[in-house]
Amino acid sequence: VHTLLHRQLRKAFGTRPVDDPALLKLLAAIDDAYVAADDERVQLERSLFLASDELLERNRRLEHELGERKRLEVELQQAEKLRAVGQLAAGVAHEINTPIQFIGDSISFLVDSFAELGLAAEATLRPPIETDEIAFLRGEIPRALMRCRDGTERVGTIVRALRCLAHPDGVDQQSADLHEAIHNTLIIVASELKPVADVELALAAVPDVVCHIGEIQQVLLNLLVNAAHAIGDRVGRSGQRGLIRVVTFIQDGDLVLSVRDDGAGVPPAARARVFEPFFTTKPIGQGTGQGLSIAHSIIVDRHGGQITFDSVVGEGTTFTIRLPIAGRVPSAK
Amino acid sequence: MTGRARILFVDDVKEVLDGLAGSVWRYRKTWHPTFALGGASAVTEMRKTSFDVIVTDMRMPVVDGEAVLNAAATYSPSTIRIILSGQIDRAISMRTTSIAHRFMSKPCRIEELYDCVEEVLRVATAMDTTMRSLVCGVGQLPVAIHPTARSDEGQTTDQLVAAVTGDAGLAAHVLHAASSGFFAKRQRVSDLREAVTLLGNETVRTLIRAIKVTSPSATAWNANTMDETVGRIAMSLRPEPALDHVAVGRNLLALWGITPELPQAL
Repeated sequence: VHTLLHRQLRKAFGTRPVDDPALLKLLAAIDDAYVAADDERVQLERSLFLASDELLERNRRLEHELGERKRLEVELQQAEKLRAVGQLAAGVAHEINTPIQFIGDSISFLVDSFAELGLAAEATLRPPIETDEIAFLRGEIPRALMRCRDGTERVGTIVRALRCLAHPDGVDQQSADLHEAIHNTLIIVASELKPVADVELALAAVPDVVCHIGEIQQVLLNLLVNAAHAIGDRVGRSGQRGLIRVVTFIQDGDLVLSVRDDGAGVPPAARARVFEPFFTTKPIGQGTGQGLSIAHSIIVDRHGGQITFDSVVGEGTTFTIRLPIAGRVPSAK
Repeated sequence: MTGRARILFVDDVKEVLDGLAGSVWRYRKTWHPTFALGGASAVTEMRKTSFDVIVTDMRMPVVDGEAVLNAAATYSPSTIRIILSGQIDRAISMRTTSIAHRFMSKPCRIEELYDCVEEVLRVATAMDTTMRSLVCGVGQLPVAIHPTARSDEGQTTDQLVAAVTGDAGLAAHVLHAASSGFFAKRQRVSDLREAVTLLGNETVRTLIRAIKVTSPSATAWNANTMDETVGRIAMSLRPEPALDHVAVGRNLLALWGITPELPQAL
């Protein structure tokens, strides 16, 4: 007899036995109904359970999609912003080129004419006047002019690097000199690196790589700035300096580029999330948590390459990028 | 060449001209420079004197660099035409690939400009008058780009290489652009696929769209007979029975910086 029915029978009839056959039949029928109702309830519960499970799963998927969409949106925004800044930088670079041209030319002229003037003076003045002041000027003026010339050339180099970096990437990949890109990027991030680290280059002879060079430079820029920050975290205000090593070589037909720092290293707990969007270990307001996630999407999705890292806390981190030299159609999404 | 090379510098910024006047002073024994402020005054100068070389800025109000070089090619075909520009607008720069012999970008050290000018001068002065007038006078070569190569965007590298290979005039201009150092890093390029990947598909498409279609049919490119092919299509514009196709092609390719200048005749 169903437990519920049994309890109710006891409440109604006490322990008095039931022996009326009609009543017994009725009781059996009621018992059957109880069991059937129970079965139905169990089934209902089961399907409810399944439905809520499915809902949960759907919820999870939606959340993931939302996150993905948000990430893409931010990436897009970032890309838009970069494009705008890039265009601006290219315009400014263009404007700067004209004055650099005539400053450079004028300094060249001063160098040439000062030497000529010196010779002329020597030839006309017999005996030549050589006071301490004149000796000083003869020594210092050419050096001052050389400084101006070197400075102008340096400005020119910075502007060229900026223009290369700001050069908007087209739809298509094109073959590009990665080493030039490395040098350009180093010029641009010099102000971040100089205070904390020296840079060592070990660049093998590598062929041009078919890629979106502007994007690759963006990745390089992120890796170098991260390396400088990691070193800053380790050395603090101790006055020590770190070392950033940039290496390129060819392996199995791919170009391999690695950026190694001897900084603080990635804490083990953070390792799995390094390439996650919005994940950052930097203090609020300092990192957007997007540098490496964008780097990942540029290298993996846009170039069919790989980006990995290796880190020991307190010893440093090495990021390694592999790029197919001949370029590749970005992996289908 | 007798005497100093007469060189006309054109820019719309006075300081640039003054700067150049100073920096070329060291070459006063080999160069005789003239300075024109703006395109209109450059054209006036060109009508007064004949120059060995014109070095012009691109973006100038009213009469721009392209107009100056076109005028030079018309009035004085033997004059060497060099662009010295801070311009990075690909579309505009592309139109000038057919009219300029060489491209330099600002800022540029005077030594680099000197080396470039001297190299083209060596190529030019090695030619006799008839040859020089013909070769330096060449602007755009006959081009008969197939409409499909022009029409839509998105052609792949393979498609672009095929389109360029099918049209020797276009091929020569692509190599010229690729070797110029203006659109990609400076190096001599005589292989079409290399040129296309170096410039990038987008630049090549821009060039194809910018160039004028002037010929009903195209000659195919042949890397092995580059001199002959280029000479032949160049001379289809201006027949000169006294000159040899191969020599014309060889000189034009050297003038454009696609092939190294020849060692001076023994």
